Amino acid sequence: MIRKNNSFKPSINSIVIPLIIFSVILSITINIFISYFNIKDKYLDDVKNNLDKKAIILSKSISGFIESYNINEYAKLIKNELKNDDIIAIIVNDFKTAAILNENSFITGNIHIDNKIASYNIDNPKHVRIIEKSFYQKKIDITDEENNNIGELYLYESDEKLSKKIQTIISDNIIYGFFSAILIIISILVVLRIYLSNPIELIIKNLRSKEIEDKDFDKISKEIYLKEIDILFDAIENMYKNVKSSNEKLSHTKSELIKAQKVAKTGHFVFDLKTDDFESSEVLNEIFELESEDKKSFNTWINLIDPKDKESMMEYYNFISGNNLNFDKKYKIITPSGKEKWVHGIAIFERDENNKPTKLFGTIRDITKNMEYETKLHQALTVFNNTHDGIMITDSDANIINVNRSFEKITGYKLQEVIGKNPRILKSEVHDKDFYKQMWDDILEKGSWTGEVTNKNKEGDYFQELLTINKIEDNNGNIINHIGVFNDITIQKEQEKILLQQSRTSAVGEMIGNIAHQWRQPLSVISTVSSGIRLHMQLDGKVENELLDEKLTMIVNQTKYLSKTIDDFRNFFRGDQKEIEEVLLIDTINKAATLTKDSFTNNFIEFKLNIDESIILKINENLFIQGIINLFNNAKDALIENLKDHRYFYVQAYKEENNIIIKLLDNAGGIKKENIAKIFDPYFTTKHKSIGTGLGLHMTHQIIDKHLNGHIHFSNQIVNYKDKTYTGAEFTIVLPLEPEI
Amino acid sequence: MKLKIIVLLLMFSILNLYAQNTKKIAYLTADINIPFWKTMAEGIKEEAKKYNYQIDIYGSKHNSKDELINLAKILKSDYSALITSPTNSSNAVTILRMAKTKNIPVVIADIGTEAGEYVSYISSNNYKGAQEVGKALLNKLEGEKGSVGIISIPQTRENGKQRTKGFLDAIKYSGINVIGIKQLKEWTYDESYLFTKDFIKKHKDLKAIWVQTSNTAQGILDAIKDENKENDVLFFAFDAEPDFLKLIKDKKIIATGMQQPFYIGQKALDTVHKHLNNIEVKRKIQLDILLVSSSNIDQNMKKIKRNVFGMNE
Repeated sequence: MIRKNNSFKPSINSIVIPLIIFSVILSITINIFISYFNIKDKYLDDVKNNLDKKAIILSKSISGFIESYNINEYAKLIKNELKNDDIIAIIVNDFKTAAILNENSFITGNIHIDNKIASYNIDNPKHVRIIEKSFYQKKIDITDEENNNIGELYLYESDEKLSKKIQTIISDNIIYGFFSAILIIISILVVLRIYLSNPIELIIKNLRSKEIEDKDFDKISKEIYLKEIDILFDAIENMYKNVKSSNEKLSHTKSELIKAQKVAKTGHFVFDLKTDDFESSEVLNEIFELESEDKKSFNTWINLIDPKDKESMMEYYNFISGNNLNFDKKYKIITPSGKEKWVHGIAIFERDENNKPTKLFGTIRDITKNMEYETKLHQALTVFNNTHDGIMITDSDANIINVNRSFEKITGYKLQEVIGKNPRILKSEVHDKDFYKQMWDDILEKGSWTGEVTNKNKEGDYFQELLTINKIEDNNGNIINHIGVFNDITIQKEQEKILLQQSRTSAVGEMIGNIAHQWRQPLSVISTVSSGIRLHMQLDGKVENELLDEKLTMIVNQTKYLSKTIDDFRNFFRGDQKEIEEVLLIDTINKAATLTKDSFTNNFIEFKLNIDESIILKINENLFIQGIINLFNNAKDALIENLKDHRYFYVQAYKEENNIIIKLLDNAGGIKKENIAKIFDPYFTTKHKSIGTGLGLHMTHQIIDKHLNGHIHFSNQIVNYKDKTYTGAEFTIVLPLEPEI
Repeated sequence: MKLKIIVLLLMFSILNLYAQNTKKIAYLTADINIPFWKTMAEGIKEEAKKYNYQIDIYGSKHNSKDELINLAKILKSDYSALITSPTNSSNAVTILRMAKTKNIPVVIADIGTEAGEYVSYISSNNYKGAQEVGKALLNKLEGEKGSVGIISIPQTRENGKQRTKGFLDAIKYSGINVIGIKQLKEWTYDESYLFTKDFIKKHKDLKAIWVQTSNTAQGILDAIKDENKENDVLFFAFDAEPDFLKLIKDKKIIATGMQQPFYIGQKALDTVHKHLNNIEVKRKIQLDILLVSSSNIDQNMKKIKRNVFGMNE
């Protein structure tokens, strides 16, 4: 986290620069003071010495001029002397001239005043003041060669030079100080920049960036030149790595927690009763279908609850919060998207010293699935209890653990009587050992078995049932239950027997009709030929051998044909209906066509085949022919009944994926919609009673679906034939290429 | 009544005029024994007669102390004005300074002053005079090339500087080469004799010697004679001595620029008089120098005798 208030704290520069400036000013000031006193003392000495020396030299020069009465010469001399030096005034009292003038003194002097050299005037108060204020003064007697006093010399020194010197020192010091301060500041700033600011900025910049790699640390470390910073940086590095690894652990833990919550479909929340802040975990937001960013409150939660339950929930909530109880309740919510969900909330209150709730902390679990299971279980139980099928549940050792009421009804045993017992109690002697072995093998291998079983009830009477046994395994594949579902098919079986007989009878009738069609032609030929022979005998009294042989051969041929026809039909009826053989589909279709050929031809039906000749069937051929012929006959009857001419029948067969598709189509007008659903039911017919038994299509359906593991379905189709459009019936048979029989 | 007043006023003014005419004027000179100053004093006295001034003359024997003593006397003696020819221009400053303390107006005649307040400074036009001597030299040589030696008065003196400058400016661009300027320190015969000998010995092409004063002329003439250069080295001078009149006529001296001290003295007193009568005067008055050579000496003799030597007819 970056603290925001760091902009109010001083930077290194803002401390160092004023410090340097202060130090420099201080040192300059001290230096100036020391220089001032040193220089003043030295200057004072110098001035005294110089002035003393000068006075001596000057007095000697002046002495000559006084002696020779060259007043102007010594006046010029002192004026010159004044030009060069800090002497503010030089005054000569010339005794000799004074004596000539008969006066006490003869004063000649020059004085610095207003930056000019003026003649000294003893009556000018300004002049007097300057002299009185002089910094140092020297008086010397002027003597001639005989050492007589011939005059006096006065020199007055100003401190102007000293002040100038001091000024120079101050200004020098200030300039020196200013430049050295700038130099020091620049040097220190550069040093600070290189050795302190840059590395620190680099560290900060990197720390503020999202991720620092190990190589970054090495890189930064190279930029650090100071031991202390390096140590600091080491500490930061260690701290960073610790924090990073802690963060990783924390985020790992957090993600695991979220995962765990996701798996458990359980989220958590903290509800602050004072601030009305409802803080929810990611998983809880998912359950509630709420946005993580949104601020949530107590109302957010209460508004999710099914409006029907809201009032009772408030009552419950108030009750537990007021009675020092915990929240534990399953309730329904309606998410913002309108989804209904069941949740289970468990929460505890945090309370203050007055036992007043301050916070509510808890978990909420999505139990919608469980509730669905519960519902389903309830439904299943209802089914279990109310179905007409008998249901028996055993444990892994095949001991009965539950049966339903239908079981009790069908078998006559009560639950209490069979519980813990083996289903063997129902066993009859009808099935051999192999039957049961096969049954259990199938259950073990395939997980289920379906078959017709004859069992014995409590009374000892046999009953037939269609039994399906399923094994129930746990996740590890261990069998935990077997469930047997069965219905009593004793009556159904009886009905089937009757139905079969009826259908056979019907088939025989159909066949006879076909035979009649087949035989009409040869019999007619035989009859004609025989009549011919007889006519020859009656007219000629004899029949020539050649002619007779020819005519008899014709008759024999016809009888052979008749005989063959008989064989065909007999083969069809006698054929073993269980023998599986490999046949070419085209041959099989042709056989069926042969059997019905004449009735098609005689009724002027155009019969067209389009068969993939490579298709091989693994079937019981007779059974299949029986199924097909029913469809052929059905089409024929419909065509005769509905069309006067342009009767058309089309059979097509091809492979599609792993199936063989056989389509049979006529143009006889199709079947009415309301009847389509019933066409495969037994005894349903739209035909005149004289020709329809209502069993043909039922038989075909049974053959295709049950015996050949195929499927047949029907649809009405539009048929274009000879430039006209008809509605026609289309039966589609789907057979597996590799039938599993 | 009116008439009375007019008569009184008239009388008073006559008395006043008389009183004015008996005013005392001091002439403080470096040395009254030197003809130049003596001539100048005569000029002053001659002119004073016109206005009836009393003239007291103080000679300082070329001595600062005497000058100072004279000055002290003058300062005590209630003079209306002071004319001075100081011992030097430095001492002139002292004279001016002291005169100022008694509010005595000062006119400086010749020599000049280094500083100080005065009414007027009257002098010879030394520059112009020296320039005319230089021109006379060029005329005499008639384009001949050669060199000239100068024996000068001290160059610290303003009149010395002006004389040198005037002469040099005249012979500038003429091809005449100045071989040296030797300053007189002792103003003696020996000094000028030695200077001249030195010039002659060292410079074979020496054509002339010019001396900026009259007092030491004999030493130079003797040196030329002793070196047998009477026909080769021409002699030019400045100022004059009475014996110069014969020397010029004999062409021993080719030409000399003569100051006119008598005339200066006259001019000085005239200036004082004007000043005392509140007539404005020039602060610096320069009087012409008389260039005298053998060719013009006769026609100027009268002027020379009066203005230069102060001789009466």
